[in-house]
Amino acid sequence: MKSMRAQISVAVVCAILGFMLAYQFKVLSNQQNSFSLGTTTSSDVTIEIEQYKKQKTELESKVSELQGKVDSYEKAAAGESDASKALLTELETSRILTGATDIHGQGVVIYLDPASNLFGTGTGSHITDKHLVYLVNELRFAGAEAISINDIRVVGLTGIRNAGNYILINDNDKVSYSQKITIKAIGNKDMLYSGLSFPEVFSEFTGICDVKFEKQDDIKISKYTKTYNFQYAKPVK
Amino acid sequence: MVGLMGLIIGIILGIVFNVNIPDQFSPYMSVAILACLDSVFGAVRASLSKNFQPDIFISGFFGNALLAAGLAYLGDKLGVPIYLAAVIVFGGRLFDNFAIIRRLLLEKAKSRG
Repeated sequence: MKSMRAQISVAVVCAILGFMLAYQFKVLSNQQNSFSLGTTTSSDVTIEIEQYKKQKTELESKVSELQGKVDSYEKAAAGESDASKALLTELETSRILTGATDIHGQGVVIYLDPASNLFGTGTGSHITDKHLVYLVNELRFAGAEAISINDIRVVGLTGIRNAGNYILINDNDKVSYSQKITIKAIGNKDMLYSGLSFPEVFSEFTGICDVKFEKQDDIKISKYTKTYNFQYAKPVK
Repeated sequence: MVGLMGLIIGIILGIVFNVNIPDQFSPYMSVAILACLDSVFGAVRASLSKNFQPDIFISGFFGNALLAAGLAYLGDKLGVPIYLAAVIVFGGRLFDNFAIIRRLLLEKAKSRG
C-alpha cells in the first residue's frame, strides 16, 4: 500500500515536471515566433534604404526636369501680355519666399566649429537648437532673404529642435552638433556682416564652438525639398 | 516506469491545455524547472542505488523548485543575479547525478555480463 502511494506521488510529481517543461517550451517557442515576426535583418534594411535613396535621386531628377518644363511654359505664357509677365514675377517672388527654387546671391556664411573636447576642458555644453534659432533670427533681423543650415533650407514653416544627439530641422533633416555646421544667408552682405559683427551677438557661443563668418559674393542655397500641405489653415473668405 | 508515464502525461497536459501563467514568471519557471530536473535525476540515482525514499524526493522536488524560483525573484528585486547560483548549483548537480547514474548502470551491465 505504501509503495503504491509512493508510486502515485512520483507519477504526479513527474507529471508536474512534464507539464512545466512543455509549458516553458511552448512559451519560449511563442516568444521566438513573435520576435521573428516582422523583424528583418539589418542587411535587408540597408538594401531597402539604398533602394529608396536611388528612388529619391531619380524622383528628384524627374522633379527638376518637370520644373524646367513648367518654367518654359510659364515663359511662353508670359511672353504674351504684360499682365502675365507681372504674374510671373509675382510667382517668382512667392517661390523664393516659400523656398521652392534654388537661389543664389550675395550674403554671408557662418561656420560653427564645435570646440574639441579632447582635453576634457569643455564645459559639457554643445550647440543646441536654441543657438541655431537665435542665429536664424539674428540673420533674419539683419535682412537675410534666404537661410540654410547645412544646406537645409530654412523657410517660414521650419522648426528647429533638439532630438537626442541631433538637431532636427524641417521635421526630419538631421544636423549633428558635434560636427561643423555651416549656415548660409543670402541678403545684403554688408548689412548681414555688420549685423553679425556686434560684439554681443556670439557671446552665447564662447566655449561651445568656434565661430567664423565671412562675406561671399555668390552663395547658392538649394530649395526646400518638402511640399507644403496645409491641412488646417484656410484663407478667410 | 511510473515516473516516465507521469512525465508523458504531464507533457501532453502541458501541450493540450492552454494554461496562462503570466509572462513575468517565465524566468522563474525556468529556474524552477532546472531544480525539478535535478530532483528527478537525484531520484533516479537513488532508485538505482536502492535507497530511494519518495517523501525525500517529493519534498526535495517542491522545496528546490520553490527555493530556486524564490531566490531568482529575490535576486531580481535586489539586482543580484542569484538565479546564476541556482543554475550553476543545479546544473552541476545534474551532471554529478548523471555521472553517478552512468556508473551505476555500467556496473549493473558488467555484473550481469
